[in-house]
Amino acid sequence: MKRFWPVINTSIAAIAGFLTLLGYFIRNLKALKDFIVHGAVILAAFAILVGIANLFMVHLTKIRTRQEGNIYSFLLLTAMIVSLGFGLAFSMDPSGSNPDFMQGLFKSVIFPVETSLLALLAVTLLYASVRLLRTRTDWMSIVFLASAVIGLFTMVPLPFIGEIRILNGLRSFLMDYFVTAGARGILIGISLGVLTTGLRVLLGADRPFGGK
Amino acid sequence: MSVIEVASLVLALISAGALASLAILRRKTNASFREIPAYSQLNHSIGLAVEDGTRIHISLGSSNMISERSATAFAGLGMVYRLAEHTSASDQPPIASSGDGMISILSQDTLKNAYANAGADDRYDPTTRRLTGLTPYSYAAGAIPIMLDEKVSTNVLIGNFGNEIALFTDTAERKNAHSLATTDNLVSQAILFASMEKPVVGEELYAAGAYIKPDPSHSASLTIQDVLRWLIVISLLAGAALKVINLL
Amino acid sequence: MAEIRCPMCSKPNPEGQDTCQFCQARLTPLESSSPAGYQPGDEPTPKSTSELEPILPEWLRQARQEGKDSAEEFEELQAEEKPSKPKQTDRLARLKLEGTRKDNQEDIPDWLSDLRPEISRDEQIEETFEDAASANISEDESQFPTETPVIDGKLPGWLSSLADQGEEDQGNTIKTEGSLDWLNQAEDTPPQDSDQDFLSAYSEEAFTEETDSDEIPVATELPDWLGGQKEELELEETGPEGSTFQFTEDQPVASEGESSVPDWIQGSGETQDTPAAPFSTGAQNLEDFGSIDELPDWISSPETNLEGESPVPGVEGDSPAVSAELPDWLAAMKEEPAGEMPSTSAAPFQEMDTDAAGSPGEELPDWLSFTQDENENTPAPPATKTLQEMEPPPGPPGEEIPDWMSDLPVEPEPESGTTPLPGSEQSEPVPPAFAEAEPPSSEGGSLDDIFSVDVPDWLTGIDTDKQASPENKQEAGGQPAAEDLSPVNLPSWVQAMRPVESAIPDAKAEQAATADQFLEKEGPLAGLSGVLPAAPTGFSPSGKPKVHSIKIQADEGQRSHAALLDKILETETRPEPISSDSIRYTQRVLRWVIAGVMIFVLTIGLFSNGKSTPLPAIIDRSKEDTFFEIIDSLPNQGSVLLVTDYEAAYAGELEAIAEQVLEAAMFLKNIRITLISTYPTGPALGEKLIEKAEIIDLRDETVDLDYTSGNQYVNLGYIPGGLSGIHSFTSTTNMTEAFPVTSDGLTARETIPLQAVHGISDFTAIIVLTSSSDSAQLWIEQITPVRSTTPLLIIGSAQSEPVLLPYVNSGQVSGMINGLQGSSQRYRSKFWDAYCFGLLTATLLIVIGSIWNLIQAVQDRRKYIGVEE
Repeated sequence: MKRFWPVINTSIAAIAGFLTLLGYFIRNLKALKDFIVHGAVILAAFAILVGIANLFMVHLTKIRTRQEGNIYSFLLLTAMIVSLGFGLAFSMDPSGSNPDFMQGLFKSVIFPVETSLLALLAVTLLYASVRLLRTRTDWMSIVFLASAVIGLFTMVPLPFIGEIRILNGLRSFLMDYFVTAGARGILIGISLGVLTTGLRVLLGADRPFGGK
Repeated sequence: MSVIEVASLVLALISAGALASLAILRRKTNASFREIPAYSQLNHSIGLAVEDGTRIHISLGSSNMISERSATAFAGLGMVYRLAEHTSASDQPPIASSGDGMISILSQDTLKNAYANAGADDRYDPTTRRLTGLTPYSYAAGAIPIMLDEKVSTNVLIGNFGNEIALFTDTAERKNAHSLATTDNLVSQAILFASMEKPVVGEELYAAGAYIKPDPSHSASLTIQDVLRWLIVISLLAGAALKVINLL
Repeated sequence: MAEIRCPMCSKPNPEGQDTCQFCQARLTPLESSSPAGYQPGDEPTPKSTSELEPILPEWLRQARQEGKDSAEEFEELQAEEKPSKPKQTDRLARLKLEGTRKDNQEDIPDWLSDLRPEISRDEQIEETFEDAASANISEDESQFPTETPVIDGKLPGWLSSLADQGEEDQGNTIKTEGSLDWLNQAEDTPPQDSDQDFLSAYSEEAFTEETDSDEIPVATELPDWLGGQKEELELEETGPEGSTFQFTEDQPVASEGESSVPDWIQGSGETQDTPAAPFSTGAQNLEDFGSIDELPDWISSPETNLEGESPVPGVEGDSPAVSAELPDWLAAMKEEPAGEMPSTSAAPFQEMDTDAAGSPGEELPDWLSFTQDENENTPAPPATKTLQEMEPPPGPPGEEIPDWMSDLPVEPEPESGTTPLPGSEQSEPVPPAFAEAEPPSSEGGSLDDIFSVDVPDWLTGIDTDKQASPENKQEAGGQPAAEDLSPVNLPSWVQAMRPVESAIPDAKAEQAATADQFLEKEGPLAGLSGVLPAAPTGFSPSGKPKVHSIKIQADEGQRSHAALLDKILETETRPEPISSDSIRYTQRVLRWVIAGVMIFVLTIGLFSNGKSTPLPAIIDRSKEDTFFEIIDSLPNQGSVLLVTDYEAAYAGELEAIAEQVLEAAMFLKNIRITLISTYPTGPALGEKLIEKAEIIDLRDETVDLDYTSGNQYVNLGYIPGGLSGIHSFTSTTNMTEAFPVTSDGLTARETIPLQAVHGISDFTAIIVLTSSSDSAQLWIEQITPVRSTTPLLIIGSAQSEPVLLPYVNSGQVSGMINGLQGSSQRYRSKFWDAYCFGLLTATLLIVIGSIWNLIQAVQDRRKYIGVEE
């Protein structure tokens, strides 16, 4: 039986995939497609719970084995437990949930942390741009930096000076043709890769779901 | 069905048939690809990591299986399998981190199968796959400590990344670790172009597995990609020409 | 007419025949291809001791001469002697160790061959005696007699006379116990096929026979001088010339249990009254003889024994008292200078002769006499050398030349008439273990020449000069065994033992030489093919293994090249220090500098209150223009679907953009907002946006619109599944059924914003607030088929503009604003100055930093190229 599990898994994946694909084109299969998709959505939701459980176990192991940075793992687990506990407690209130606590928790913790990370990203990107020519000195790097400078410089009017129409026209020209075309071409290539990768999964060539 | 839907379905079926045929025909031939310096350096870095006894960190990004970016997740999982197979004998097993629950489960199964196929079942560690966050930046915040604290010498970032990929590359540069980063996000590709010595742009993401460990199906899929790309180029040029002569 | 004795049947055959006419055995030894020459079936090479005469010491030569002279006398005596005992005389004569009379004569001492009854000993003895008698020993002659005077059971006359006088002269006699009966007895013994039967001749019968007292008593065993005797042997021989030798009649009889092999052959240590040699050391008694298994002292160490001692009492000269072990004549040899036989060496013989006959050489025993006939067929020997002058032949390591042999003259190898042993030609001349009938080598010495008796071959064949010293062997080192081990000089009786090849010897020899079979060239199996080699080729059974040097033999040039290569590799493998710490420190400083500059600039911009920088001019019919027009055209209390698909990180940018739009729409139109998101954090961000937007800052006052959930806005929460969820949402026709409960627990149908909305097209506008172009694409692609006339507006981050612009241009998106510069075309933001200052500062930093790093990179490259060159 152990030898047949890969075959069974591959068969299920292939059949479900082809039905879903055909369900987008054949209306009679739309309901089946919706059913499969909705089932996948539910699985994805439970997969989040599984992932959270895995995260909990990893950090718990880190605390138990006293690895490096285990104090941060302790803080993480504490925050996780408190958030989960308060969320369950307040959501079970028959009078109605108290979103203020959860909203306050979000606004006070998650929002500033992520915003700070994005602000840090700004400095990081600036640093990377400044050192680009030191890292890789070639013509493409110079073109890249030149386009970045032009885009930044023409995005906003100059202080105490105002807008420069030539720069606005240049920015529009670059944005409408070069930037858009390049982006479109990259997206087309990515879509082709998505197509062939999906077909490999449907045909069973790639089996990330287990067994070789 | 509309014309567009029919054309799309026909295109998908033809591509599937061609892919299967080429995969069968190319079983006995060795695939030859153009050199991508990033992947060549990756092979070298993998060997160094095994020799040094350091880890390889594979980051799969925040893509999920039910989104349009699931193909990127499959490409990342294929990379996980190949890298795990190559480094099964290493003292430090590779770590696969992701920002999605389903990707995390699949990465665990992929690691397990890789070790089983390599004959190193006893070396598999369930804690080597980790869900570090459900949002991109929380995922980045949870993955960066892995790069800092767990003796990672090589980082492979393959999946759907946003701007947070800059944090990964910056951390790798701080640790003087080798990085290979590729994503399907345009903005992230621009960031990678600025922060990486050897950037991987565009659909080269989907060729990663073939450069690490080629197989007939992967080679066939790349061939199909090239064929379709040329078809699109020809159709775009033809459309533009027809538009110019006012036939469209 | 000369006859050839068959080696097999011992019958005489006429000369010139190759095969025996009786038994068909070969009479003439074959000439083998190997230098040794011995082949199976070969006739034993005759030995002639007369060939060694050139190396004889002078005293011996004189003795020979005297012997020849006495031969005539012996004939006379022989005639007088009783015919009943001719054998004893013959036996005595046969004691001479000679070689063959002729080339084809068998290589058996005559005294041994006489033991065979088949052989006509009488005839043989007579013939040999005649030869011995006619042998002329002179100083010029350097040949040893090749023939042994055969005494047909009779003692030579001189010996018999010695026996008679033995009783008279006891003081100067060398007593030898026993009689010569052993010779008579040996003659009576039946003939034996093997040459070794001569040993059996000394059987019990032979020794039990009584000997004639008149005859010279002969010991039942071989004389002492041929062997070692422990017991006192008294041998008194009264030779015809007043020999000093006495033979007593008391011949000790060998016990039955004893072997008949003489002691000197046996080498046994038995001490018994064995008959002494007729000529023993010049001692009254023979007690000082060493063990039987040793050579007598006068043989083994004549120098020590003879030193200062007179070999014979009464010898004229200055010879000291003779030791008990050595005969006088031998003791006298010690007084001679090296390389030259002492003149007094002949004293014993002279003494003997003087005592016996009063004339030198008159009473010379036959065994010392060498007939001239015997020397006829022998080539003229070259100049002799003493053994001391000659190189010792190669022999077993550690073997030393006995002293009594060291003074022996060495005759070079005869040029012809001898059949060399197989394999001897390939190696240096070495003394054969078994002496041939002929002189074995040019440099070898032989006892035959000294004593003129039938010395066994192995004694005659010892070539002490060619015995290799250990030093010589070590120098040779690695030479094959053939060079160290001398080819064995097989005695004739051993040669005769060899198996006869059935095939033609010549053809066989060629086959053996050419075929793959190994042809044995030495040893008892010489001439045979297909036998296992005695020793592998190249095998050198030296005691120590060959030492090989482990050092590479390289000349100066090679060493210099190796040193140069080593130097080159050293530079390649020399580790270089890693200077990464300084680079990291520089990177960290640069980061801090950039961050500090940006923080400073932004702070200044924030305090400027957004009025330093003019707002961007709006462009007609641009996407921004369309967007604002649509917002302005919204109906009062219309329902707007607000999609909050952005991350919390982008909330700062998007809230800054959307806040002004929503404020205007909310404040002016009192729109109803339905929040939804495909991001898990979307609902929370939507709530936050509403809370922020409801507070409107007017010029003079702050107005709080107090938007409440369920009345002015409703939050439908999170839609899972991404694309599928959007698709499901956009395709639904009953919104309240699809979303019965809001995120805050309210019943959807009871909320005011959803009362008039059933599907997506019931909304007055759809605003997608997104930071990612992917999400916007999804919404655009899913909403476009079902929105009909509902405008789709996008408020996106600045990064999503390039990707979403085609959608705007294609009409799928009604209007779009990206970034703060988009919203600032209509609404001034308090962050506008900071935004502008930040962007310009970043641009400036990029330009300055890039130029600086470019210069550095070029300099580094030039430096690297210079180092390589």
